[in-house]
Amino acid sequence: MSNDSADSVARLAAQLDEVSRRDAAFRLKTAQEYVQVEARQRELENKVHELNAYVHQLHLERDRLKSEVQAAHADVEAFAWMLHDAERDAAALGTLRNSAIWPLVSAWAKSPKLPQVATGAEAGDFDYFLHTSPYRLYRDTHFTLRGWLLPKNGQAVTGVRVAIDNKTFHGRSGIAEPDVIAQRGPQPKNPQPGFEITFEIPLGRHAFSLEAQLDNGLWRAALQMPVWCRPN
Amino acid sequence: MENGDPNRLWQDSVHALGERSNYKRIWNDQAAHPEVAKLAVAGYREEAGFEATAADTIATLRATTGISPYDIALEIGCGVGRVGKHLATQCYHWIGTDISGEMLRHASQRLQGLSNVTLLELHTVGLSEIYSGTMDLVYCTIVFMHLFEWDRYRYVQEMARVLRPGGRCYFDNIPLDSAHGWQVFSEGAAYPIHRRPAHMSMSSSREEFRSYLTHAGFEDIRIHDLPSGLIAGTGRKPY
Repeated sequence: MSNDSADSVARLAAQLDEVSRRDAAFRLKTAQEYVQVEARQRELENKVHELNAYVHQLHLERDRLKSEVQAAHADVEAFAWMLHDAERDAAALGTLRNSAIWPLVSAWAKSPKLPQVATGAEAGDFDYFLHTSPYRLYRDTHFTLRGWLLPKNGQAVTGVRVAIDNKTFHGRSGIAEPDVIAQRGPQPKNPQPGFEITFEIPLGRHAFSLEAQLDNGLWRAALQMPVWCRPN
Repeated sequence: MENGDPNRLWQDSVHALGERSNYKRIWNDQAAHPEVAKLAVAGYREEAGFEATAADTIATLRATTGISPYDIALEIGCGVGRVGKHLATQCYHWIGTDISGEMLRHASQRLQGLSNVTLLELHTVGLSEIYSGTMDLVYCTIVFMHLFEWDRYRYVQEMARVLRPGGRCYFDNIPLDSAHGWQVFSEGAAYPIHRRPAHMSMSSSREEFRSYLTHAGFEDIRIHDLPSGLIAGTGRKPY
């Protein structure tokens, strides 16, 4: 092979090397850019998935609130009818009071009184929230009350119960409430302040008391009020 | 090691066979500590052993697929970077992929100082993070024994996708029809059913490798008997 030919082959080989190097560099750049794009795309897909899940949660919450509003409207209507009935009864009673037989019947007629809570628990000082509100007219004879409560003095809660008149229903305490802890900070004695109590409620008007047992063994009432049960 | 014997820690980190498909969890758990990670990928911890077997693997690649200084080489299941540490010095760029981010964390320590190295965590079985037609050489060594057959084939399919036309692939496993393969098989068979570990080695056959390569569309398909006792399948992506 002449020197010219050898030089020519060497030049071609060098050119081929250079082309191979540029080809590899281009493909590597493409691959590296794609890695970034693909990672970003997966990140966005995850974000979309997360947002979709959140929107779904909001829809569920909206539906639940709509149901509560409907139930509240129904309760207002029921209370209006109860008031109507009470006014009618009051009018009848007024008539009766003006009648000649009132002195005879008034001796044994008694006004209905709200039953007293039989547990005798004193009122305690609590922060609390009820996820399932008892401020309503009960339409079922069973109800599950859920929420959380924290004694303001930081004592540990060792038990929870609901008293309906003189009957008590013990529930489950120590349920995690991460949002509450996140909002109010660590609660050393009540790291899981949630509770759940299922109770029966007979027809009519009753005394309701939500009570918690503290670490000294005493029961203290967080909430006491009258409730009604009037099934449809 | 501050937390006890690596062999014991390794035993404690394994999952049951029913978890085998959960490769990311299995291998992340086995790679929590660098010494345990080495045991999990190679069965030994000594760096000298890693150096020697890496040289063997590179010699095998050179003999079966060839290695060019302009190759972009991609390893599937690179573990702690046993092969990559040395192969990176002989190719244009080395990409180490693994489904275990923990393994890659150890690999990044071992490969410090190498500028032509990329480490990439795979989010699932496959190479969806890699653009099609960009790689010159894709190989997978001492990995298939830990995978189910469907996942082995998925990786072979992915090799075909990410290779450029003319690109080469390589994968290996223990053959069932060898003394070593039968020993591994017998050891697996001896486990009580409920105690079979998820990463337990499962052998391959020549017919299996040939089928993978054929169905994935490779040409110039070859099955190699390696001095190490493994079999390897190689192929080239058609132009």
